[in-house]
Amino acid sequence: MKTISSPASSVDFSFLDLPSFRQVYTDARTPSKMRFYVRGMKCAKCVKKVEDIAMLDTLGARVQVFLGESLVEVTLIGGASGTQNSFAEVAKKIKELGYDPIPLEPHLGSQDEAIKEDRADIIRLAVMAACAGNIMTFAFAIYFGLSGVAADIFNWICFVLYLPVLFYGALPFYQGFWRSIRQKEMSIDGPMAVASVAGFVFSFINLVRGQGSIYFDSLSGFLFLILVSRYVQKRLQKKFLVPVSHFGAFEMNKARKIFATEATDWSWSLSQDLSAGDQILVLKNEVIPVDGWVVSDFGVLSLAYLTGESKPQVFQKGMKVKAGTQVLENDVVLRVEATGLGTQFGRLLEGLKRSSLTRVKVQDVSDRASQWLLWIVFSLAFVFLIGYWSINPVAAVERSLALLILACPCAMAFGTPLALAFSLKKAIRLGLILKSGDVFEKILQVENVFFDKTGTLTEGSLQVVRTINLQDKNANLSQLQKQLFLALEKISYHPIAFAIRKYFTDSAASSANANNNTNISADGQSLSVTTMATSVDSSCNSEFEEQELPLTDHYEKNGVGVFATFSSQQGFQKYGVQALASNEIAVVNQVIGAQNSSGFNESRHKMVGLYLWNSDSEAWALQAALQLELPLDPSAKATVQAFQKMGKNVYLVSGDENRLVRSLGDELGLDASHVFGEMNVEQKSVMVQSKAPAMMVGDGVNDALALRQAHVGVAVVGGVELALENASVFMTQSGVGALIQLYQISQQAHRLIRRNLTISLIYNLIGGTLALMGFVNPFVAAVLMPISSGFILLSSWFGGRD
Amino acid sequence: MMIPIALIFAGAFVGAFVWAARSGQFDDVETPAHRMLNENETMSSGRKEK
Repeated sequence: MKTISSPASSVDFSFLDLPSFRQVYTDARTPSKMRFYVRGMKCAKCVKKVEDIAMLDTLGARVQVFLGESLVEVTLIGGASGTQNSFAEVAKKIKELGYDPIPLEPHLGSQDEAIKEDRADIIRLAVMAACAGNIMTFAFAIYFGLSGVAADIFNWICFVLYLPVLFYGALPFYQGFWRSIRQKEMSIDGPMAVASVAGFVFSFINLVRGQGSIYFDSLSGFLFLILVSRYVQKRLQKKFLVPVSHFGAFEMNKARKIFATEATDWSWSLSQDLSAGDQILVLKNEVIPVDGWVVSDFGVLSLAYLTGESKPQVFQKGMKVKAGTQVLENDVVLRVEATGLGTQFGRLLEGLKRSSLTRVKVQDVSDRASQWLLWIVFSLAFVFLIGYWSINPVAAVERSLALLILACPCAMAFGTPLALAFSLKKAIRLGLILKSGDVFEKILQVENVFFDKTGTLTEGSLQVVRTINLQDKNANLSQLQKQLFLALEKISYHPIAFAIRKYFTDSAASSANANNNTNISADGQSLSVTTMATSVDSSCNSEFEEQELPLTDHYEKNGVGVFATFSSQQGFQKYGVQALASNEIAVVNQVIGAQNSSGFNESRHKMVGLYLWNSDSEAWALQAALQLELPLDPSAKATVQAFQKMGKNVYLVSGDENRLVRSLGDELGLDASHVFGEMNVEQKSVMVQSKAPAMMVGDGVNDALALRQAHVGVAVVGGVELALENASVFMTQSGVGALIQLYQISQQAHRLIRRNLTISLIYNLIGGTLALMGFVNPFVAAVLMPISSGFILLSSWFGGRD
Repeated sequence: MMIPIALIFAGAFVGAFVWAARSGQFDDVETPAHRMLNENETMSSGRKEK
């Protein structure tokens, strides 16, 4: 049992020493070892600082940093008396140094098996290098004129040295070939495996016969180079993609379960051990691990993990929150509804762990591209073998083998994956997460670019920028009006509702400081304008401790507003919050316009009013109005122009009112014929399909279908989950400007891939022809093969870096 | 005579490399370079168990 002691509790890692947590985070075989993913370690000093933790004798722990993978391995050695033997203490020390230690479940980090795999890879490379290098040395002696008995001996040495290549080094190719056969697909491993074995058999026969070509040198050389390129690619993927999977996984596991009713009495619990109805406490900056209802009066939460939207949003007591939501301000108490895989976020993480994001299908793309070439080479070799057999069986085998070895599409085997892996790395640095490597190809094919309006070109969330009290123009909103706004919007998840909640909780804080309110008067007619408070004060809960307004018959009419009956001393009154009609906006604007000439841009401003139902006149009477503004993404205009400059057609599609969308289109310099408002889900998707190949950039549920139909679907920061699931690119930072950079990266990748392909095609064509005509002897193959492979490796390396 | 010697040499180097890899010398090729720069040669924690 512990009591909350706010700031210090963020370094509370005591759960790490609980048996239930240790079971999850340590391997049963090595229970005294735990690995942490620690971001931000960059230099010698960081390594020293973290490792010096072990100098503290009381800890009894060994600490080792793996800088390349941002891992810290902690081993408790215990033994001596007085040692704490506690992971929690070590984690706390790391945290105190300013790093964030995230314990890794044994199957997530690079644990023993991954290390074994790494070591196996590197040993395989070493053996291949040694064999290939030595074979080459002996083979060259023969090429440069060695003959007679010595040459025979040398050839036999090559044979012996090739054995490890055949039975050990080339194993991955056989495995890949076998897999591809079972899946009835052609893979690049095919020719490698066939060449490796057939080349060996053929060379061996020639060796025994004492005449004919011997290919040990060229085979081992190019098998080695291909293994090198695959290794490089694997390392790149590991370094830049795996950290994505650590994301959030750990936060989802721990929860503070509250006992009885006091929020001050809690203990750590694995979130999977919670059950519906339990209450949990989530502190500032932590991620809510369950679906549940807010029990605290209110919470300032961020949906960043869930949707990418990082702007704070205010939730009120009784509202439902989803797992993955982050608490930004005060600590929040929640009642659990569902945990683990019962939550959407839990399922999302599970999917993330299993597949798509961590294993970008780079290999598949190039495999698919090279399939046809492989078929051609294979069938050509086969046809030649059959056709030439009657003329000269030996030459038939020799030449078709030479073709297989020479015309193997190396550029596609590793040039393309390497180029894509490098591009992926650049995209990730820009905050773009790509679901598959073919995005680089597809984005270049796009001719029409569609932007959604809300949340995509407009940045982030709505903000209340003005409040107007229409009952008493000299005053701010009355306390009752504020409370009515809040109480009415409480049931709503509409962006306007979030904006209103945020505004009133902010202004509650700022009015306590009494420095953000300004009264401006002009023309004898005075009106109070409350400027937007820019920061959320942490002491802003005073306003919400007041009793709740008694509302009955409370409902939300989607797309219209929220309505309820309020029972006050004057009896029952029906209130509603809804958008202002345009004539009402004009009236309000006239009042505002007196002070502010900048006016009202319809595409980005909205007015909602608090209405009281007048049963005598059977009409709504406007009591107060709020002006909301949607800030425009600063990079929007430049992005639109850049795409237009590239000859793309840029369209604006939105579900919003026509005139609003048109007004934004004007602001962006779009032609009226390219601007479409009042589009529903189907219409958007039909539009995107009709203008294929298209890129759709959007964020909302109403974009999800279009995102999936589009050639390239881009879900922007702030988008809803459904949009993310259907898009092939996620933008994790706001600003559509990154799209232009993605386009440029794709162009670079494309150029590089094309360069590699051209080199390889020319080479294959010449080599293949020469091979079939019988001009290729083992020496030519031995020289050409590694040269072309090495050349493509270098070309990708230098073209892909920078 | 030179040939067997050369081959034995090559074999020995491969063997040495395999041993090095198996004992974890290539598990982390970045950190030790930084660790070396620390002035005071630190405690046992800095090294991998043998």
